[in-house]
Amino acid sequence: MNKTDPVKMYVTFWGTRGSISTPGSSTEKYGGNTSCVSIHHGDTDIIIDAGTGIRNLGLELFQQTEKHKNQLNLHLLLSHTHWDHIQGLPFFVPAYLKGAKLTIYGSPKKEVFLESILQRQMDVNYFPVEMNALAADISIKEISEEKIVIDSVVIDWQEQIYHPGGCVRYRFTAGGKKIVYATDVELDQMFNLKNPKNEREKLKKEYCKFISGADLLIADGQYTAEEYPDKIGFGHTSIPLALEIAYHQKVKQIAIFHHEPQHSDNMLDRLWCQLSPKYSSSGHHMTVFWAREGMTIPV
Amino acid sequence: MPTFKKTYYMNVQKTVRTKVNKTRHHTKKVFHKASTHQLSSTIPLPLVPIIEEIDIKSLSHLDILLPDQSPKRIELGRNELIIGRDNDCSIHLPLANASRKHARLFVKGEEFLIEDLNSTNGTYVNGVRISRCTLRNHDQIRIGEARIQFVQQKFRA
Repeated sequence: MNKTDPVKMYVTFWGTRGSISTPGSSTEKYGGNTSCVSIHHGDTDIIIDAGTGIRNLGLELFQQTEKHKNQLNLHLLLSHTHWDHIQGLPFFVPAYLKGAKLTIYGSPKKEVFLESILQRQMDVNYFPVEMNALAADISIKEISEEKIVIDSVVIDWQEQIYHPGGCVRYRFTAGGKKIVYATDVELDQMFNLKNPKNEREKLKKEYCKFISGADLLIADGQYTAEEYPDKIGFGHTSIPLALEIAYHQKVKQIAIFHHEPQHSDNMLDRLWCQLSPKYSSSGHHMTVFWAREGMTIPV
Repeated sequence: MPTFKKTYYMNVQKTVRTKVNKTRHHTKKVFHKASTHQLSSTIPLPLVPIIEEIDIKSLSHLDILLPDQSPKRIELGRNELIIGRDNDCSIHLPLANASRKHARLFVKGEEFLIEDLNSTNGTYVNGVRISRCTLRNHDQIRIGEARIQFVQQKFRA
């Protein structure tokens, strides 16, 4: 990459698809790889989720380390351990590099330890290389502190219950800017008037406070409003609701993320044309875009 | 043709030639043994012409629209292009709100990428300020008042 501004965070989308990787000409623009986002700030490299998109990130990091002869020190934060968020890890080249350091963070609220979940996906029945054969210095941590501090990036996190098995959302703060990664959550349930009021209100407040004023919000937007009634309980949000909440919380930029595998580039383009003008025309301006592979945003 | 492409092209040819040679060598054995499996896997294919066809049939250009000027079209090859206000830029934009060296357009593998060169007013793709972006057909690039459309036609028939 071009010489970067040390104050800014650079967010790159490596995988934006939800549920399952979806290669093909109809998904070329927004991408077919599953969830993976990187944040580069100064000399710090943070990765969020290890869906199939992490394979391309690994190749890029490998090229950089070959060119600059530096050793990698990477931090991987997992939102949860569903396939589309961990399946790329066995194909992540830096994990095979002697001298590379990889710290993996995840929720402490699993019934089994995070390390055992990741090891099991590399069981010989699923994959030919076992996790303990990886050459990099890998440490797996279940988050215990309220905040994680990695160099000059401060990371807040919260559990999201409206996703089967749970999911963690993260907020990254550096240089006075805030990036929120909050995917795999069914906001339609959280904001549904039929749910018990006390529980709902508390969770709503927590969510709104967490995303309030974010410079970039990466938000779950898997379904259209028309599709959602057939997908209740799947743990994902309808796009118009994600946009409305973000707008009311004065989010500056929202990247709709975790695209439904059935949504083609043409369909996502049409949705963007329908839904985005409302947020750019009057009052507070919010930039709305659909996250796409190969795009780097300065924040 | 830039050196990179030439080298790459020659390597491809060399690799394919090696493969074809190996295949030919193997074919002799196949006909002795007359195994269906070996027959199906050893028919020598004319791979070099196929690769040349694929390489040739990917065409890309930029349609550039500047205020008070007629539209311009720039065909894209594998050379890096610098876009900006300086006269020596490959794509010269005589605009006050474009930086001297505003952005660069380059090829990585089979894809075109645009990268902002820390410009003052930013480079936008489809309305989003980007630092770097892989370009897709009909992407709208905005640099100052310039409107640039990226058009790519791929033929893989």
